[in-house]
Amino acid sequence: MPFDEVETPQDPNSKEAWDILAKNALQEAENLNSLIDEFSSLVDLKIKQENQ
Amino acid sequence: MTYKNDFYRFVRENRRAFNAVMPINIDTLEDEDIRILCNHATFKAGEPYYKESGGKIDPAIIDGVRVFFNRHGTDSPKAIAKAFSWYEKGALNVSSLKDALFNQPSFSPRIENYLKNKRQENYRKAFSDIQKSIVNLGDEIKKAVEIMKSPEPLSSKPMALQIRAQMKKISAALERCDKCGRGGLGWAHKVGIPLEKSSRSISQMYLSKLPQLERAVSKVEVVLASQGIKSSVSTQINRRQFLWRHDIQMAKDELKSQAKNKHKQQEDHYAIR
Repeated sequence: MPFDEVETPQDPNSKEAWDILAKNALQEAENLNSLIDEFSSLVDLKIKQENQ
Repeated sequence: MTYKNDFYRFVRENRRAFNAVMPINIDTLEDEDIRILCNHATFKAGEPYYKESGGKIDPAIIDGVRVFFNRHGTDSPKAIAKAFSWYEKGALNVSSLKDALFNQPSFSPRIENYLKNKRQENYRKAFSDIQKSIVNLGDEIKKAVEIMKSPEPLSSKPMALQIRAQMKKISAALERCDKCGRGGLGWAHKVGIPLEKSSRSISQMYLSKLPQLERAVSKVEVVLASQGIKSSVSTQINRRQFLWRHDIQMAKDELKSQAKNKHKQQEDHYAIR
């Protein structure tokens, strides 16, 4: 970011922009958690099937 | 180079005094940085570098290390850019940077805006990196889920090899997550931004599921071991959890300590003037 261009407030630093970024990141973290749950269940299921 | 050796000697011999006015990690400085500091600082090879009067550091030292900023004039993009390059390399910490810039009476609010925007920019980038790494980890786990959906038994050789390869990719993705996430928290701390609620939530969510992932991977590894196939991904996940928790705790402790020491730092700040 060139020094001369910083006098006016930049949109990416607005509270709204931050909220969107944080919301997206949290959504991704939630998706990750669901995937870990699914993977974990499948592992248990697969092992159970093997032992039968 | 003589000036470089002199500079190192100056810092070594006067480390306490030097750090008190401008803590600089000399290992991070490049020749050009040192040359500028040497040219503009009051110290000269062979002369007393600093003297103490009544237990206080000679103001000449303070002026010396700061003169660079004055020399280039107020609001000078060159001075600011240089200060920032030192700051971003970790040569100056944030309080030194503020000290160097804001204590100049003629520096304008434009610089404050620049600092604010730059901090936000860096933090935003770190935050976005965390998000990308979480998405990447999710993609790798999604592929592992697809593999596990196959009707092939886990103990069959092709299946075992396939899932091991995918678990290795999960481990690599965790490494990236680890780097971005811990880096992101580090940045938040470094630029003096308290751990934001969202950042903390992400860390907590991420950390809360890692033990579950570790247990699932560990169960797969038991099956793989029975087939003579080695894998150590669960150990790596365990290690990463430890590192994350450690980093978060460190960041929290340092923030607490910073708040506690703020008053004392202010007293010291004025005592050396």
